[in-house]
Amino acid sequence: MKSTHLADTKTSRYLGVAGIEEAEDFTPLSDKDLQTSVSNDINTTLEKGEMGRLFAIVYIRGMQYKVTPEDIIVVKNDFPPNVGDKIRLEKVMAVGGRDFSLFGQPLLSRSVVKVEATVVEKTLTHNRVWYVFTRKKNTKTFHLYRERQTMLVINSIQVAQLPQEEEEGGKE
Amino acid sequence: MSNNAIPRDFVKNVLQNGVGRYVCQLKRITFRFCKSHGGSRHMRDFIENNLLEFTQKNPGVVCYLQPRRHRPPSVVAEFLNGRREVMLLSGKEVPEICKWVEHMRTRSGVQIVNMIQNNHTETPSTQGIWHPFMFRDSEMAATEFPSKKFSQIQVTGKTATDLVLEEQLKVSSSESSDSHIEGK
Amino acid sequence: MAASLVRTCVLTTRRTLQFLRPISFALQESHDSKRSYHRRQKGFLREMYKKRIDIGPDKPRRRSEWINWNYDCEIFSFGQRLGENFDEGSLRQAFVHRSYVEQEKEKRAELGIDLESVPLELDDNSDLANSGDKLMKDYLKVYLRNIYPYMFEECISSVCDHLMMDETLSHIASHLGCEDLILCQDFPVQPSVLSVTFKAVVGALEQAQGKERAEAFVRDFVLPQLIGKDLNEMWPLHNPMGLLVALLSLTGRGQPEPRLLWKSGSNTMMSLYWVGIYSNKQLISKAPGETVLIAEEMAAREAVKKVMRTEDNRPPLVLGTVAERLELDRDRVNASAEDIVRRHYEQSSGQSDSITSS
Repeated sequence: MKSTHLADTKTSRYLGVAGIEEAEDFTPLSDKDLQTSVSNDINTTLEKGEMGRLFAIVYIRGMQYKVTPEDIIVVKNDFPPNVGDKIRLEKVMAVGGRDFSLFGQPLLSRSVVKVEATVVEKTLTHNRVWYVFTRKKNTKTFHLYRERQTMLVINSIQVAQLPQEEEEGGKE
Repeated sequence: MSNNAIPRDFVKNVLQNGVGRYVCQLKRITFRFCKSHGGSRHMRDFIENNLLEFTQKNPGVVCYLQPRRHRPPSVVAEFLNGRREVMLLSGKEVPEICKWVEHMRTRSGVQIVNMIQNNHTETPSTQGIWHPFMFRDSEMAATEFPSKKFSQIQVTGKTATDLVLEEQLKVSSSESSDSHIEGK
Repeated sequence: MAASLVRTCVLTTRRTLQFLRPISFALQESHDSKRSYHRRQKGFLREMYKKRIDIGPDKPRRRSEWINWNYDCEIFSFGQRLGENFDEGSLRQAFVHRSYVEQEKEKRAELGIDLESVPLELDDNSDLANSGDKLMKDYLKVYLRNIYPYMFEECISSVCDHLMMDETLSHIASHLGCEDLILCQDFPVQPSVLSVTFKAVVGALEQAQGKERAEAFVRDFVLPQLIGKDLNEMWPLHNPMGLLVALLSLTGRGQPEPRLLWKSGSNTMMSLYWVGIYSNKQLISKAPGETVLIAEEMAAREAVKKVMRTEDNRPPLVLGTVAERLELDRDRVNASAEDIVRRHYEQSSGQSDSITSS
């Protein structure tokens, strides 16, 4: 299996690599053996507790955030949870540890990953200016407005053992 | 005002709130109003109808009422980080006063400035930050340059020249076979 | 010329005003929407301004000197805010510093009140602080030992010392609203007084709700202070290579061999060397540095980090609701670095003795 690291191939081109590599079909689903061996590796890492600090990519209201425990993220505009609420971020697009990354297609299963967060602050933004000027038309608008903001603190990211007949894409 | 004169800052979490447990950051709120003036009418209504509910819901916030003669109504919020904010509420009706009080309750007390990023992390990388030596062979440290090994062009697949030559071969072979047919 | 003089005057005035603003209550609170003043007020305002400058900034005053202050309410809200049911008497006692009791006694002596006939029923917080201090130290060490089972005992005690420092504890105490409630002689409140009060609050909580609840309090408010801090920096390790040699020899592996991996810009100010440490031809760790010696030391430190499993990408601390299910082994004692080095030297000296005798 050739390296699929983008930075690797790019730098190696600069360093005098010639030739056109044949595009390799890298879809783990197509290779059942690879799939099982990779998920076995990840399972043993999780069992031994050698996954290090886990990170996840969560999807909240149209924005993707890369989070790790103890992080703060800001959600813009209206967000129903109140301060002090403990919530679970359901839409997890990817999760990773020291030597593995799991990517969903597009989301990871709810039974595999659990990302918990606490709402710590609900506030308003600084004054923002909305200024429109059209010349020669005597048109001018000047507005100051403030948007709502919600701060979330990530409490924990947990990954369960992968089922052997895994549907998501796994990559190590 | 130019853009860089506007103060900006990163997102902050006062005393890592919410990591252990959540603590409401508003410690004290003072409602200041006039007992007789019309300007404080809505504030008086708020105190009469809504304040008790607020105090029952938030036992951790100390509420004070401070009547001041012939002065506009205002709210003073004091936060756990030591900051104190005064908000004038003259001309604000009861629902709006409720909203501003709720705004003070849900805040962390950090001064509101423009935000540089919408997230903050203490550990930016788990799998390691890229550096120029990450994929480099450590044998390079011991070799003297120019070296033949590391100056060589690595051929990983077919080059453009190979492709052209192949095409030429194909064409020439087909031509030769054609001529053979014609000759026959 | 005149214009520039006026500008300087205006600028200096503004600067002084800014200096006064956070301190002077009157200036900060003016809700005056007037943008200008009449020219006949000029002399008066200037005079007032000069007087203000002469008097200087306002003295910092205790929060309790303001009209909107009710100590009973504040004490009640303190417990409610943190979600704990304190015993009111012991919580009140936790906020009384020794200096305040002494001050009260002096006051009574000045007034000629006999302390024996009218006893001063006021206990200071030193007993509570002592019990809180003991509980905090014990719990922090037990928690750290269980979370970092491979960390050396020396490192654990230095992390614990960092958390128990006056600076850390006073930062926590002031952000929990203790500063306004403390009864003490000095004002502004000293960090040492704040830290003693925080320990006393923990002691009061232990008295009211038991050890478990007090430990949860410590876990929720003290341990998050480690977030974003380098644990390995807190332990002053002077000879990482010596420790690494001892560790490798005791585990029966080969001696550490530092090797240069990469270098760049070696004859410039921005020189960079990457040194890797090998043992039995296996790469243990690698680190960069400005010189080869620095890089070697950093690589040794990196190896010690790996042994203690406190690399930068280590798992986060177990805090919050997840931590309630933690089962801590209270009798656990980690390996000590000093012990390891001593054992290594005893072994090596024993070997050399046997070689010389044979």
